[in-house]
Amino acid sequence: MATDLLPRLRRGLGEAWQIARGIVGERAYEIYLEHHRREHPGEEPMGEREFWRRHTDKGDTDPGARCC
Amino acid sequence: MSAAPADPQATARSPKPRWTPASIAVWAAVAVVGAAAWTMLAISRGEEVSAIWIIFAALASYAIGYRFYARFIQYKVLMTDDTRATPAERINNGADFHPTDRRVLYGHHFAAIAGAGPLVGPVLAAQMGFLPGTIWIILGVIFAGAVQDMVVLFFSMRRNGRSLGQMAREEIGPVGGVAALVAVLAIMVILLAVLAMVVVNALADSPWGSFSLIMTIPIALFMGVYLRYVRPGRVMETSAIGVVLLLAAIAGGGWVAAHPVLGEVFHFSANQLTFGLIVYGFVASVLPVWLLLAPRDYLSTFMKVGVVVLLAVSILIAMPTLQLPQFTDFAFNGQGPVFAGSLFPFVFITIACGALSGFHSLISSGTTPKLIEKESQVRMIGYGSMLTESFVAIMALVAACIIDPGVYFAMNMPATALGDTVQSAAAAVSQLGFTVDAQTLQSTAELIEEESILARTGGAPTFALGAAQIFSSVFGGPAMMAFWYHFAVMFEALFILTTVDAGTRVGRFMLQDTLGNVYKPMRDVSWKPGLWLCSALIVAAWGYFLWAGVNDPLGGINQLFPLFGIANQLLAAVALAVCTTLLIKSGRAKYAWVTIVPLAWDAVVTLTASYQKVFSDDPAIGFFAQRRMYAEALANGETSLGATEGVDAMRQVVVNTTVDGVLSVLFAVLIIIVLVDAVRVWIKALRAPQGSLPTTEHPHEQSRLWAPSGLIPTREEREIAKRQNTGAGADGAAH
Repeated sequence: MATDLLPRLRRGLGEAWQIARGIVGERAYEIYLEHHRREHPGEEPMGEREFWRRHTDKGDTDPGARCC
Repeated sequence: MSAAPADPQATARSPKPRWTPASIAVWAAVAVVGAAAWTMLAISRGEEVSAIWIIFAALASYAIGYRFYARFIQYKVLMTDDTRATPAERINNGADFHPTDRRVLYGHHFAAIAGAGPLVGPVLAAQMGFLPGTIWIILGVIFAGAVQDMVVLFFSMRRNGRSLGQMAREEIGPVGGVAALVAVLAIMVILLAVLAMVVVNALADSPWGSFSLIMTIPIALFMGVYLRYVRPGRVMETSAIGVVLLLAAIAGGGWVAAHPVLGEVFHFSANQLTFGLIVYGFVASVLPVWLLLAPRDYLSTFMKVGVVVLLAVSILIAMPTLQLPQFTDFAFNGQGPVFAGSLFPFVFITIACGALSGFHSLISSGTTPKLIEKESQVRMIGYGSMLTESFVAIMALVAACIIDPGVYFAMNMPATALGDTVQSAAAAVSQLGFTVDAQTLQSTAELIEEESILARTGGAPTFALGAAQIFSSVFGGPAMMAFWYHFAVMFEALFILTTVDAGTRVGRFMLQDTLGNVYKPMRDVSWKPGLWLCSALIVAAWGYFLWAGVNDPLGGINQLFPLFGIANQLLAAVALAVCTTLLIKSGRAKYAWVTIVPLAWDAVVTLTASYQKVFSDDPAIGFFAQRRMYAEALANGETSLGATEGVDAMRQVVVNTTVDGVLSVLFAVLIIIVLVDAVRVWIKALRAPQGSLPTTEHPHEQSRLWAPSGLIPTREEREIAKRQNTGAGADGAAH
């Protein structure tokens, strides 16, 4: 059990980190890459810099609702 | 997460819970703790009650509501079907439609629905004692607020993420659609004005607060440039830098306030701040998103989650004692100085966010339904996120109720009622029956290093004072009070500036869209003149209410806040009417009471409040009675009335009460229109043979995706995840 605990803890922390990254939206490029590989195999995906630029600028035309 | 074909056993999940001795024992224990906590809150007389009982009552009630009522709604009423592919799975375009891990989406949805609202309402409602607010926040969320969020999310998800406005138009008719649109625009304007007023009241004559809030602008600009040109996509890293800079700005504020020159530079009057906020609102809403709004959003999300967790932990450690009684006399006589009117209906209007917030239906029918992975997750994401927001409201209530009642009233009464000195304020508060001496008011101000705490209305400073007491009793002691106070003020003001920026943009887009029907180029969101014009119109609208509120001789918050509450509950009525219509049309009429009961309650509360605001003869409550009183005094040539000095101030009251009164009438008429129109559709649907009415629901498509339903996967779910051997299991997080 004790030998099992450390890798388990590490995996849990790793997962928590990925959830936190997901909540703040940092995984957007990874999601795009996964989608691109699946749907358009063989085509060159957008570069990271280019992607983030377009991703953020979408907010200029679609602000999204926010609450009180 | 996993794209593997669904396990047939996984989809045939039995909705029947399996009761084991262990689970029976756990739920019995939860019920006992909840009942004990409620009993402590209800029966204690005179002795000191620990705030911990409010926390326990809330958590136990939430757990029972989530486990039993929300589960009933999920399986019996909505009949969520995990064999059905969600829009995220079907459309999956790598951008706005994308199956998202339930825990990520929960955080996302919570960050989108929770803002400054749940921190303000409960603080104001505390004038009636701690019990009315506690009961309404907890029961309201279980039976109304969380139900609305979950049901709207479900129906929007079944319609490819259609917005509330679209659903109202398609399911009720054009009248319902227009009412929804007007309600959204109106609520937006009032909301922005009220929130901006909260900031003005918190920062006026406070160099420390003003400095740290102003510093958020260069911090956000820096973060924007850093994310754009230096490290694109490194959101966590950039936000961490931002938070460190923010804490430095708060710490630096103390030094700035004490500095002879800088202290003066950052010393602003209420009207200077009002003007500054209006200019800021306009500039921020026309700047590109990447420069200011996006980084501000990241910063707000970070602070939001961090402070909520910090506050919860601190309350559990500090275990503060409630200072306010269960009920004050104001609950029954309607003469409360913070806002007028008796418990029914005004507690239910004042506390909207945290119990029932119509605004949430816009989020539940916007981004979230396009990202949800499995239908059964609507309970965790829709209902669960709202329970979390409700808990934030409970903590705000605790923060307000643990401070000295005399200090609470001195902070929340209008300036004209308190006079200019701590002596006059102490006398005014003591007259209400809450003894406080001038010395206490002075020393409290000194403790948080502010010039004065008198008439700091709007909720934020009161919340900040309570939070600072809780934080400093855990971290740092009295020496840290000033830091924590400004930390909490800043935390709230930061949200509000983000909302002001985002809200102005959302309002501008809606206006552009509406005006686009008349003049085509308006609809083009990159056409600069249209963009500037519409931004200016929206800013002018909330700016007017802000200015009028800040200069209202009777105190702006107590006049405007009920209007904000009514507007929010109006939107909730639209959302619940849409939900009921959909339940009936989709053959679930047997269970339509799930949304009809909260709708009926919401309608009764809102219409009673509107009726009193319009027709009450009591000038403290009725806008028109107040208007008449001042108009008559002016006609008789009087130059002062009550605490209002001078003809100009009296004329201002006449104008303000007219505007507020007309708005109350408008909101009430809108609610009645929506209800009548919805009932017409219900009757038509009930008379029509089953399934003959058109529906916009997307047809069933087989899901090929599997994921757990709740936050913590069950044993069966873990086994399925293991068999699939994909990333779907949450094994690590569950232990």
